[in-house]
Amino acid sequence: MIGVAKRDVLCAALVLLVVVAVGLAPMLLPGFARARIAGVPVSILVVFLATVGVLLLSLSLAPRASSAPNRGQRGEGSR
Amino acid sequence: VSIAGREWAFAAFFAVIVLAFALAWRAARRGSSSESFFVAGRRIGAKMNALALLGEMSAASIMGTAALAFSYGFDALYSVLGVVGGWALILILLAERLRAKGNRTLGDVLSARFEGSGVRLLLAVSALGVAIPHTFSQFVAAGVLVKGLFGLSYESGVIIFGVLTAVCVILGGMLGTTWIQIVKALLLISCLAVILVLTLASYHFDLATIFASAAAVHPAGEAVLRPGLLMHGPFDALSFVLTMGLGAAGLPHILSRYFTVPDPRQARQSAALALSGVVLINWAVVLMGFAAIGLIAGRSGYALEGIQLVGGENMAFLHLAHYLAGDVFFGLLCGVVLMTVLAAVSAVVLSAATTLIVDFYRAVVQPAGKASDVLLSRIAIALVCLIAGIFALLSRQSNIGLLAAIAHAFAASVNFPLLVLTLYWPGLTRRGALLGGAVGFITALGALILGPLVWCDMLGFAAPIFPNHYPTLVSVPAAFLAAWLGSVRARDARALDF
Repeated sequence: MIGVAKRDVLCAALVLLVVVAVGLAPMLLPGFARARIAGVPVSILVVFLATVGVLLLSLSLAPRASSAPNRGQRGEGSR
Repeated sequence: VSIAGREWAFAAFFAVIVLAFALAWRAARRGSSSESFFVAGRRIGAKMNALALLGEMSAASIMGTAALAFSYGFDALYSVLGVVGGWALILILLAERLRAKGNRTLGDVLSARFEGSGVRLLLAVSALGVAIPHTFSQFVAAGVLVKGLFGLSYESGVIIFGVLTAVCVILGGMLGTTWIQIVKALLLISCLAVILVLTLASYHFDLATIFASAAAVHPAGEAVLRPGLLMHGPFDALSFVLTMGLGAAGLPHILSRYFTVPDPRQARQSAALALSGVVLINWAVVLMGFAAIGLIAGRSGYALEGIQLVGGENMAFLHLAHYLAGDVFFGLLCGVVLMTVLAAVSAVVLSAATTLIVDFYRAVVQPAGKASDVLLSRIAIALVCLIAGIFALLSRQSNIGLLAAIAHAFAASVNFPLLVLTLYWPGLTRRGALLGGAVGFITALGALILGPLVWCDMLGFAAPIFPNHYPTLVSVPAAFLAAWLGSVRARDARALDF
């Protein structure tokens, strides 16, 4: 069982890894860039799926249980 | 633009001015307490905050992304990848914790952990390094848009927008800015939905036809569907993606929106809703850019020759709307685009003024002064608008790409590393934070000056010393490394409990 902070950092690293890998793949693999599925370039489909995957991963993370102390509630910071 | 289109655009522009004044006036009547002015009373709900966050998307990002897809095809997807990644990082790493730890500015997050004003001041300098080029570039864009759409002079556009922005933000503060952003987001999403449906209908809802037409019409042929027209290698692409992503995740005017919700949970909910919207809007705009190649490239009235568009490549989005929906819709869309500029620049100006007063004036110059922060911020808002307006009037030929690169480079190289390390690494010391921020700032600045945008385009040298337009691939790791080295070697000033 890992802590919530470590979970968030690992997920953020995973997001960066996906973004970098999907960005580089069509440049480093020309055959991949030329392939098509139903007339749509596979490289474009993969970028689409990657962004949807990043979205779903981000949405799947539950909020922190306690939501930490809540600074700045009424009155604080007012002059 | 036809006469009918121009008349509708003028009417929509006038409506935007009246609407913005009305919203700002209504917000001002709600009260001008410090909490109301700086953080909208922390009463903005998650859904409304998500809409306001979508309202932060500038006209440049909508029209620019469509233009990238129109001119360079696949390479526009690097922008989408970066932006989606950046907003995902905000959701995962920052939104909830910023709301829990911060008060009015990003500097509050750091000052809660580190003694003294040094780190806060460093972040303030970086925040201003983001805000001033951003405001300046929005005023330049406003002047160019007003000139192109209405035939008024460039100077008139800058002055109208400068005064409009200053008055709206001075009157309405964060609450008025939030309302303007919400209305703008709703209008923009409605317009995008109409254009997207018309675009898909013109291709019989067949995606393959859109890409086949683009490859058939674009001078680059099939290459438009592959990377390489804009990015000249993996280093270029990676640097661009990281700048767009980490830059978005470090922009103060976006992050400060999370201070306006009642609690951290709603901050996270608003970030999740905003990310969903960012994914949808970016893909819709990219699809329109690809579709525009087949529809308006080479067409009389829209293109001069091939993909050379009347008014420049940034007009691809507006030309497509005019081609598909005619004069009336085009006119209304112009009004929405101008409201987009106003919403984006208002948030940046407010963020800059708040930083000036809270992180600089109160923290360094006069901590115990009697003047209220709201009054001082209103003066700062007028000052920021005046300075950015004068810059915009004096240098109409400014490279908007360079200004955007500066803003994103500082946000990615200073704000993002400092915030992430402060929030997640207990071992970060004050010395490490100072060293990391300073190295990020200096590396980003140095690489920008030695890079193609300044070294070649402005100073006239044949070849750049730093090969890339964006310094992020070097400056962000340098900032993290320096912060780590500064912390592990520090023997004094350990961080306070956080």
